[in-house]
Amino acid sequence: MTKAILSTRDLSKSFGGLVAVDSVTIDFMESRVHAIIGPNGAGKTTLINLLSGELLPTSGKITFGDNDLTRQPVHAISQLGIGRSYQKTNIFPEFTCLKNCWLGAQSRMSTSMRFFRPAKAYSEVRLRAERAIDLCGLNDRIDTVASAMSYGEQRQLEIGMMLATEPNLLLLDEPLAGMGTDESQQVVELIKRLAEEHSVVLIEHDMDAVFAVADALTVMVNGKVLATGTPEEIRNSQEVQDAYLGTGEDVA
Amino acid sequence: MTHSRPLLAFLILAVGALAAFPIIGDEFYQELVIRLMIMGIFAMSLDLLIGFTGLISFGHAAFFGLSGYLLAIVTPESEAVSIWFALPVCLLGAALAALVIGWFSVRTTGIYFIMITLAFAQMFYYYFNENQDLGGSDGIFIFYKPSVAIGGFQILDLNNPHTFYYFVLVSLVVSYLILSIILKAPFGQVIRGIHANEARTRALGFNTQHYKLVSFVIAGTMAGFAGFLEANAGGIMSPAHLGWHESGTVMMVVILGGMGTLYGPVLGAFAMGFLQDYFQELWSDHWLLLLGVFVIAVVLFLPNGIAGLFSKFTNKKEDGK
Repeated sequence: MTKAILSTRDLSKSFGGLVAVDSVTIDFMESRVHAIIGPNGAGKTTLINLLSGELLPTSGKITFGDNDLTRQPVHAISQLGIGRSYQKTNIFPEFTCLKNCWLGAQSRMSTSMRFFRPAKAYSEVRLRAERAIDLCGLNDRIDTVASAMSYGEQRQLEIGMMLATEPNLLLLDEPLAGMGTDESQQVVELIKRLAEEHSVVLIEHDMDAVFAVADALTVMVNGKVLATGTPEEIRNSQEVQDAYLGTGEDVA
Repeated sequence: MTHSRPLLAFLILAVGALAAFPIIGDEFYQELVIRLMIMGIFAMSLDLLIGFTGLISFGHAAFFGLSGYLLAIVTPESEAVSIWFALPVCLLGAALAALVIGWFSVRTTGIYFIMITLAFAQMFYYYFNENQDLGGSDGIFIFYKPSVAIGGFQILDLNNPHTFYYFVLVSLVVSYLILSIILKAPFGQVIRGIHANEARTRALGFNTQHYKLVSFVIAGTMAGFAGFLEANAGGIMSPAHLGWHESGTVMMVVILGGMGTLYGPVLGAFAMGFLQDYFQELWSDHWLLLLGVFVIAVVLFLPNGIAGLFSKFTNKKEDGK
């Protein structure tokens, strides 16, 4: 058994009267792909936003190794080695591919409060950025302006930007959203490759993809954790089938 | 910024033309060109905020005016002050003011940022407007330009119009180079990222507020430098120098010239100076009306300002990003 890299304890987030995330306790294990599934509105993206610091929890606790993440700002969480990608493509549209990845790569320098030497001259940053572009498979697009790339390529870039920060833990929010079959297949392969060196938290609607890459699954419904287990356990769980996967009757 | 070849040639030519101007131009226009170059420095400093960091500061005149007033305060009534004392006081004063105003302002975004910078600048305006020791609404005279001497030996005489002209020209070029270098450096990459997509820049691990604050302080200090030159050039500082009217004018200059290009705002300063002159002759009572129509036309038809027109002609996109 490996140890938990990221843990939540009774994590909750309310928006006014709506409890989007309700007492969620999950241990995400090191070097594993842990998928979170659930119907729309189950609170999956809200949970990721809590983990990445984009939202502050109403109550509960998040720990990452020895660090308490609960009240940490977004940039500090990134600096601790947690990278995230977004469901809605969130890139710098007017920058080239390289420039998009450059910033992430540059953020791993001790500081970017450097005013004299040209950024280009920092070869270690360039190497990191190029490595990220290589990993996400955009080598032949390195000097292409992001807005001129296809939707699928922009989704790849989205992941590349995150990889440029050299994170240990990846939070992937629906990386396959809106992709065609071929493109999806490519990204699934990419996630598999990334899983060899990273811990991954994956939100995804595409069940084929989820069962292809996940080592562990958590099912969320109405902000609550319904079940957590191996893909086998989840597949065979009557409770999950009733609530979500469906046995012919439409519950969601 | 990487300069395309035609642009580089144009910039060198422009500096050459400015350098040759005192030899051929008459004294009145020489005075005018000095003021336009100073406006160019002031506008470039605002471009760092508006065009590169994405901070719409509507109180940029505060630093310009404050620095000018500081020169007036440290200049004795009957002799010149040393530039080695006066310039650091002016720059530090502007930097400190920018640090304080920026510290509060960068916590806000959008319309709130605009309003808070405006409000701070108006506080400065009213302070100097009410302060009778500093001339109140009439302003205060600076009778002597600072002396530039080393060990009692004068190396520059700023009272000589030619010397002062070249002092300002060199200041303009150096200011441009400083900003160009900063924008190419890692710091410049971060503020461009903030401009393009601040939330994502933060998610990549940057404390964007710190970078915005530093950008604000650099811009404020450079605006202070422009104010120092303005106080020298005009020999008077008045509250109008730090009012919202002045902040609006410099913002118009930046938009007219082209945001996010650095050289654009300098072109904008000259265009504005020229238009002012031309429209005043054309319709002296309501020339501002003509200027307004012109600015509207530029915003509608030339969203990248005069600099955008230039890059259209050379068929090369400004490669800032």
